[in-house]
Amino acid sequence: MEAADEQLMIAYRDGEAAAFETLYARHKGPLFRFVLRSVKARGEAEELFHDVWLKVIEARERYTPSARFTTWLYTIARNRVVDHWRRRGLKLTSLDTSNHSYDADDPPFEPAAAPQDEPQRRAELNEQLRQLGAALEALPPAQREVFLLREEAGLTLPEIAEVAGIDLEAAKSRLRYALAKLREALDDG
Amino acid sequence: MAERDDLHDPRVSAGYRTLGEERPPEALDAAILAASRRAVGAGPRRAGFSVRRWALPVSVAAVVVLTMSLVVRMQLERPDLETAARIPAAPPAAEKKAAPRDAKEEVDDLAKRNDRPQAEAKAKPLAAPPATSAPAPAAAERERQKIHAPAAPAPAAAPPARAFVPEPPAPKSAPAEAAAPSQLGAARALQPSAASDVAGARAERPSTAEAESAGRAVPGAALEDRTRASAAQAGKKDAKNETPRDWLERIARLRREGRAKEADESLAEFRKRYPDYEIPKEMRDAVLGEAAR
Repeated sequence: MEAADEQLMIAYRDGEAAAFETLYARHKGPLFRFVLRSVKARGEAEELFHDVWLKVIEARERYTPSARFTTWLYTIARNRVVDHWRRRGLKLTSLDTSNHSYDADDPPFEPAAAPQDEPQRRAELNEQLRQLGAALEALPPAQREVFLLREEAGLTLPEIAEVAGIDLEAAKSRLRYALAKLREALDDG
Repeated sequence: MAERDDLHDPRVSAGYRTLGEERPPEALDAAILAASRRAVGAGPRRAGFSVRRWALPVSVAAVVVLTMSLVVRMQLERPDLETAARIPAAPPAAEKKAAPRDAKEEVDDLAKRNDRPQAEAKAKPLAAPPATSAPAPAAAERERQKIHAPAAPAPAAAPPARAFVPEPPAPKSAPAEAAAPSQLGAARALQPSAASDVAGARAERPSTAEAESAGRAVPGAALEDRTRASAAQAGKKDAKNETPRDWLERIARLRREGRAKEADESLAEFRKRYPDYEIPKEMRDAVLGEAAR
């Protein structure tokens, strides 16, 4: 039986380096993709990914298993991504551009321009997937964040709400809109 | 059901999975893992941290234990001083009880020492306490006298030592002056007159004070004080045990020695003690002195 994430983190906190390696191996792929698809640029994603894990390492002494490790990890990652956007001076845009007003008081950060610096990766996709990928990139960041937290981290809606700092209904709404747009992209493809 | 469909679409999830399974580069993996190992370090770093974390509490505990052990040791090694310091607060009844025993032991001790040849007395170390099972308060009182008694004898103007006044043998009426700390009874008994009184009462013995002071290497004053105090205690004991006739003889002796005032005081005490006692005719002149005439 595999050790739970929380047990591994506690073991690492207590000085067991091997526990961190297991934890890292378990979460590195999903977390990397979450960061990568949040910022789109691979170089920036790697930098942010590195920073997130360093924060985990630094915060090990304060770690208490009051919540799932995954929730804690993605909260760190999400905050780091938001900080990245803020430092880049990216403008804030409301999600109301896509005819929903549920979080007008909680506007997310949105990149002013979505850099398409991964042409090789895009070329490998077939048309349908290209459409899906394009739709994902085109999603408002708040919706994309919720979708990625669901698909990559496997978080429940309450956990997504906790990580994103929103209430449960807002999380449901964002996820519903994200899925609708992605479904539409697949159908169009 | 509709809400669940809205929030979960297997087709979208499957399509998303085919977008790619991007992973961080191996160099990044290595850098992160190296950082994680550096953070916790090897065994020695962890041990060092542990030592740092426990250093302060362990130090404080060690200081506390050391201090406590020192205090306990000091108390164990000098219990007499501790007891002496507490004596003033002790109930007077205990002091009354302790004093006679102390005096008796002192008398016995003096008697033993007087019976020995002087050479042996000289060889005896001063500080050797009498082999006695005296109660702690009495021993403490002696120690206190040794420590606090002035080096010089009490001033001549001091009132005569009450220790030489015959007192009724009844324990209820016996005053506790001998043991009362405020009076330092033994210290008062150091007066020359008191010492000579005792010497008079026990004329058959050599001068105890002189023998003691000659044989001890300790500062004379302290030794003399102690000896005289013992003699005073002994005199008091004798006075309590003497018969009315003995008492009268002692009064007569005082008059012969020209110590009329002491004789009068002793006579007054005698009359208080034995109000109905008729002084024999043959002793009347010697006891009453000029008053008889």
